[in-house]
Amino acid sequence: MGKHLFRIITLAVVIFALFGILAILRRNSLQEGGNKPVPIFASETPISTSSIDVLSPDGKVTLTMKEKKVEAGVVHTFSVSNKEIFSKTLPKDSSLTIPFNAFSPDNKYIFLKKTVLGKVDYFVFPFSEGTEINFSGLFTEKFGSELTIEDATGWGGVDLVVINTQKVSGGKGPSFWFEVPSRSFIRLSHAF
Amino acid sequence: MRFRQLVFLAFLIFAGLFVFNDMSRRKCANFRSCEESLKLSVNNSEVGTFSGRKILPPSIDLSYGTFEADVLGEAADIGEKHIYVDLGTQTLRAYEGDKLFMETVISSGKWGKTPTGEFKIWEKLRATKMSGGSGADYYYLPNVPFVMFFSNNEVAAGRGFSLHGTYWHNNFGYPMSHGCVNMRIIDAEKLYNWVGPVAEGNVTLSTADNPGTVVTIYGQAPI
Repeated sequence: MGKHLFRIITLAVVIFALFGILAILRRNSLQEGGNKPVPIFASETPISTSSIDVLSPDGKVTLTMKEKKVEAGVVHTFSVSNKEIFSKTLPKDSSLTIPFNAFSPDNKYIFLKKTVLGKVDYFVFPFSEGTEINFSGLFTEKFGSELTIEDATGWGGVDLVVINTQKVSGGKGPSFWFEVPSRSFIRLSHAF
Repeated sequence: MRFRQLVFLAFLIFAGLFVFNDMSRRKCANFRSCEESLKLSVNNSEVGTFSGRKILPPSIDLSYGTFEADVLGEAADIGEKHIYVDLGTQTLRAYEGDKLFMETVISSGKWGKTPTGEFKIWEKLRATKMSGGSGADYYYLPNVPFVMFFSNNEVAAGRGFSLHGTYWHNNFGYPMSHGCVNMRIIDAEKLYNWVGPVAEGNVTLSTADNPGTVVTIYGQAPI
């Protein structure tokens, strides 16, 4: 009887010991797991990237646009000859495109086309200033009651963006130059 | 009464001469530099004018090795070279036989009409000076690069119509010239080095042995 009781106690001790060992191993496992980096879904987690190179008309300058899709939308980073000049984040379902005639003739400016929720804006980026000029907004402020920008086609001179317009009341409107240094519009007598 | 008639007659003669002279000058693509534009001209220190703006022309290095075209007789015989300029779409296509060599957008005449028809390149210049226009349309453009003059029986060589590189605007795909075919400099350089006559220096005239490439210009430029 005493011998039988001894065996039961020994078995119980072994089982407790086994449970104890398992418990310690599990705790260590949890602690190790706790030290592991927890993924954080930051707003700039890259999903995919792409890159476009555009050469100036004289072949001297290369504009690179890198697009990085993130949670919040798309980050567009522009570089000229491998030097970053500006970056812009746009929401999803929007686009930022480099028109064929984007470079000013002297390679001091570029103009770009931005489309957000179907609304098109054009803006100029002077390489020396580091800030964009949204001339669609400036145009709307000045002529919005009678005219809308139909398109901006290119550069009519070193600092003159060619703009074609439509009348709010319908029909083709006059063409303009947007003079970048003065941020002003020059109404043209002939259509472009 | 008789005196008044004489004065009126003199006025008519002078007015007629003025109009005739002005019209004859305007027959040139660049009427202020009509003859001068047909010759090699490099002015690296000069400043250009276009749209009322000053612009620095590209510096021209006459020793620059732009003559990468096939040496006479060494070209692969895959067909005749031919350039097509479609004024309606403002595009240029260059073929060698059936093979497309290049396709790009251009700017044809806005202030002057680009002639249509079939032409031949008669002269290639590494660079020249072009000037013309008046008032707000006045332009003075030294160092116009990669110039390829074309002509035919109806459009004389002396009128100075050409395909050439353009550094004063960047509005290709839309009419912007005074009659010439404006091209981006990178496109003009590529075409210049491909087109006949094969360059034999900075000035090359076409000959029977070194003929000029055919240029067909057609269509109606958008208003």
